[in-house]
Amino acid sequence: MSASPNPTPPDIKWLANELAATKGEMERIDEELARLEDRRGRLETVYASLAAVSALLQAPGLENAVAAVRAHPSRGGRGSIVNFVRAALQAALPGALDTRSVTELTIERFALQFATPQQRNRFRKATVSHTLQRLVNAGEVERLHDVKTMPNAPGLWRWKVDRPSAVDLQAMDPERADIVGDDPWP
Amino acid sequence: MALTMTRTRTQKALTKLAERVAAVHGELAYVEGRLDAGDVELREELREGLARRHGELMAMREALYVTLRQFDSALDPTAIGSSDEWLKPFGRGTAGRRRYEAALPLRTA
Repeated sequence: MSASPNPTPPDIKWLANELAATKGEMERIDEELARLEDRRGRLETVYASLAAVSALLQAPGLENAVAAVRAHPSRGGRGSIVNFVRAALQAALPGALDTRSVTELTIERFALQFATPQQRNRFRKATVSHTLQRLVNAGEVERLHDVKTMPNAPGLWRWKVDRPSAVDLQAMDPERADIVGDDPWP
Repeated sequence: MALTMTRTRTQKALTKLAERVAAVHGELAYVEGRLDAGDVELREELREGLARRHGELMAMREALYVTLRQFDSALDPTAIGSSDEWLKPFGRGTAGRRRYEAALPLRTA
């Protein structure tokens, strides 16, 4: 392919890129607003029904007496996310999954939607990473990444299988017992 | 699915909602039966009262269905039967029904 006779100046390229990205972000916001409008409409119907039933059950005006509460969103039954993460890691054996993959799988499984990338990140840190750490603490999952030497590297997690490590196997062999500890890898 | 934590949902709440649905089902069946009977002796005032009560019961049923589904989306409110609880304040049998119908034109909700 021959080079364009009139190459686009870099400042125009930059502007075009920014325009495209801004347009995309506005489209994403519009879609999210439409989704939230629909959701609000459905919740208004539920709210009116709950108020009507309250009156029916001899508690008229209950909707005015209660303050709003930002309830923790329910994502299925109790323990549903931790059980899903367990199943995902078990299915990945003998391989491992990184935090990003676990996050994407969880979002897809529970059909979660986030209004902003920040909310998605918050979910990754507060829910997914927290769940993985809980499983590590419970002895069910092993963390393969070294947070001390590579604190910003993506987390890598593997379902723990009860088997001896290479170091353990070496220690079992009396002829090689003297060189145990030289190999840093499990 | 209910927005609140599962701990706050109780069997008592579910029982009460189900009982209300059953009562509405029962009353609706009665009112619809009377309106569809083509009874020439039905007074205009009574017919109007029955029609108004029918509208109220339909709205009540919808609100109860939405509430039950909010309680647990797996529940099917249409599967709940009907009861005669709605007639209790008026007494039993034919006399109770007569008192119920006599009160209809005067009821505001």
